[in-house]
Amino acid sequence: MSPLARPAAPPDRAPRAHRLITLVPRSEWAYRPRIAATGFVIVTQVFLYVLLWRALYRESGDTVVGLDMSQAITYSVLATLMGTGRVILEGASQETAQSKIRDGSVVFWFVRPLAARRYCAWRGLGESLYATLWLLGGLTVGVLCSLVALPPSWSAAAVTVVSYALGQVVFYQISLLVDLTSFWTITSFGVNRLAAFAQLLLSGGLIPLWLFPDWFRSTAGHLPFAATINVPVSLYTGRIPVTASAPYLAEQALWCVLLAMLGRLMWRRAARRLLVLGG
Amino acid sequence: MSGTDHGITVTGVTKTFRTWDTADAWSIRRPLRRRRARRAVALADVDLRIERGEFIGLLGQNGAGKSTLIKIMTGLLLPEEGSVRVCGLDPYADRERNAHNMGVTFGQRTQMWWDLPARDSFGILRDIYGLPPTVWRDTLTQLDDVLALSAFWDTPVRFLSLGQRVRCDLAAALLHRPPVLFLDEPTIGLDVLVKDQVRELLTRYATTGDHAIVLTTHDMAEVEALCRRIVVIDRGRIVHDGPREALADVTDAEHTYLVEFETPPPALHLLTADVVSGEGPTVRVRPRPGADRAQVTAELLAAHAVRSVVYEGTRAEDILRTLYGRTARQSPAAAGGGGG
Ligand SMILES: Nc1ncnc2c1ncn2[C@@H]1O[C@H](COP(=O)(O)OP(=O)(O)OP(=O)(O)O)[C@@H](O)[C@H]1O
Ligand SMILES: [Mg+2]
Repeated sequence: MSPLARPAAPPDRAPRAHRLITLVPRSEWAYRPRIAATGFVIVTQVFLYVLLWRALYRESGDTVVGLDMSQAITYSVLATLMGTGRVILEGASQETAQSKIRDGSVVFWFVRPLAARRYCAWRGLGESLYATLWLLGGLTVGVLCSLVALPPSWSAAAVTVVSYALGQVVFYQISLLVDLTSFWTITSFGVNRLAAFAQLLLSGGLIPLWLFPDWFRSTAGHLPFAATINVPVSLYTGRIPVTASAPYLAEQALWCVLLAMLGRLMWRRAARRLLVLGG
Repeated sequence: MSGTDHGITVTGVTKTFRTWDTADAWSIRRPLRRRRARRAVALADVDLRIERGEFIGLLGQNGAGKSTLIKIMTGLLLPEEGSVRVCGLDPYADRERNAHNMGVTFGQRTQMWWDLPARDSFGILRDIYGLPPTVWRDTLTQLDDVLALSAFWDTPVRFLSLGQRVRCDLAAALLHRPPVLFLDEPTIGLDVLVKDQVRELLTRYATTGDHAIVLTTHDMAEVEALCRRIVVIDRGRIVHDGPREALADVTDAEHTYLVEFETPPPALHLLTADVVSGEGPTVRVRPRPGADRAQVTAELLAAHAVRSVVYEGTRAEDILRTLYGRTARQSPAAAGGGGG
């Protein structure tokens, strides 16, 4: 008789779910054209920013809203690098809750010994690490071409790392919440679009927040989007001095906790909403 | 460990779905009016016990409630009433523990990762289920022996044909060697040869006597080849549950034999059967009371050059046709109703 058919006892070892970290990098590697496209976008965007800032500073002198040209370029390069490389939500991989709900395969998230919430978290961690690779690579190239200035001090660098890590968590939570809305709306396309727009504008990823009017800046500064890019990049460029960094980090951490709690709640409800699926 | 119970128990399960009438949902005159909700009964008071070692065929018309029952047994849906136990666990409340015990396929849905080669998907499942690498490799080799996966498992799943992908999905469901299998239309879209492979694999599982297997399919040949016990569900109710042979009894349908002769026969007179109709070399006869299949066949073969005899009305397909037709006539409009 074939040993094939002998049911195994459930393993007593904990699942090695941490290997899911490699999921996103591997998928991207399987589609190298996608990596090339990401690289192309980053290079083009950085090039355009450099042109833009140079033109702007030629017109208006040494500093604009308290920022000199090298700081402005550094800011834009970093913001660009931090904003790309988040690949899951771009949907190319069909790994979103949205596309899984549409084709019904989301059920498999709920028949495995790993809760969907943890599955997505491990995968998201991998996505963050992948995005960080882009950041580090781009940063190295940028510094070597003396396009990007180094942080003002070692302590600024250290605080930036902490802030970046918190920002990545917030990043993950925001995209997760947006994606999970598709359990209720079937397609979260509208929500997606709004969130992408808000992310772009309010995170400071496109234009530094301090170029906006005061009321806008102070509002946006307290939204979770700012925690993803604006805060870590401001720390890196020295726009926020290390001595004043504590409240910013605290706010980032607070967003992590709040969004994580909201995420928990949504996961629990999503599992109950599975009946949206016919078939 | 999950104790000694390796079967599936479904007791008094009822499930209704809320649906909305969308036909007049957005009226200009009353845009805020609530859409009318109605409840459609998908399962009504279903009892089912499947022992370890059993292989049941779950049959029913489209929309009968088969998939709903499977979703409830796999813990994807919570029944409004009644309870389910799989290997002694509540599949809804104990999702993650229960997942080790069961393998699931859902027709055209895939659990493979689109971007990665199929083999990578198996690797991810190994990590998710925490399978020891040697066990995983052995199982995969054995599955490959029957399903011939290695021919394409290095191709990214999005480039696989439907049949290749369905085979991968079957393998994915079996990789952790679950004692309970839920197969919702596992052979949808497969060609004959691949169906044979799948059938062979499932036969192997059935013959071990260690598995409880639930199969839904619309392919009657498959059910006849694999399942000894057949459960027929109709508009959410179990209308038949018994051995495959007993299915014929529930319909007390008239059986007829379709006889094809080498040449058109002259006027046919048989002792064991009446002629119902005839056209060219093909004649339909009905056995007389008391005459069994062997007697009729013997008489036919003794005196005529017969090319083929088809026993109509004894195939599961024919029986189901009668059964579905009958229940449709007996109880019109069972589902539906207002409220909600
Ligand atoms: N999510 C849902 N919302 C509303 N109604 C549903 C939902 N899922 C199923 N139904 C209804 O429940 C009934 C049973 O559906 P089910 O999918 O279980 O049928 P089935 O027996 O699997 O049919 P098929 O052979 O076509 O796969 C159908 O009338 C269907 O319309
Ligand atoms: Mg179905």
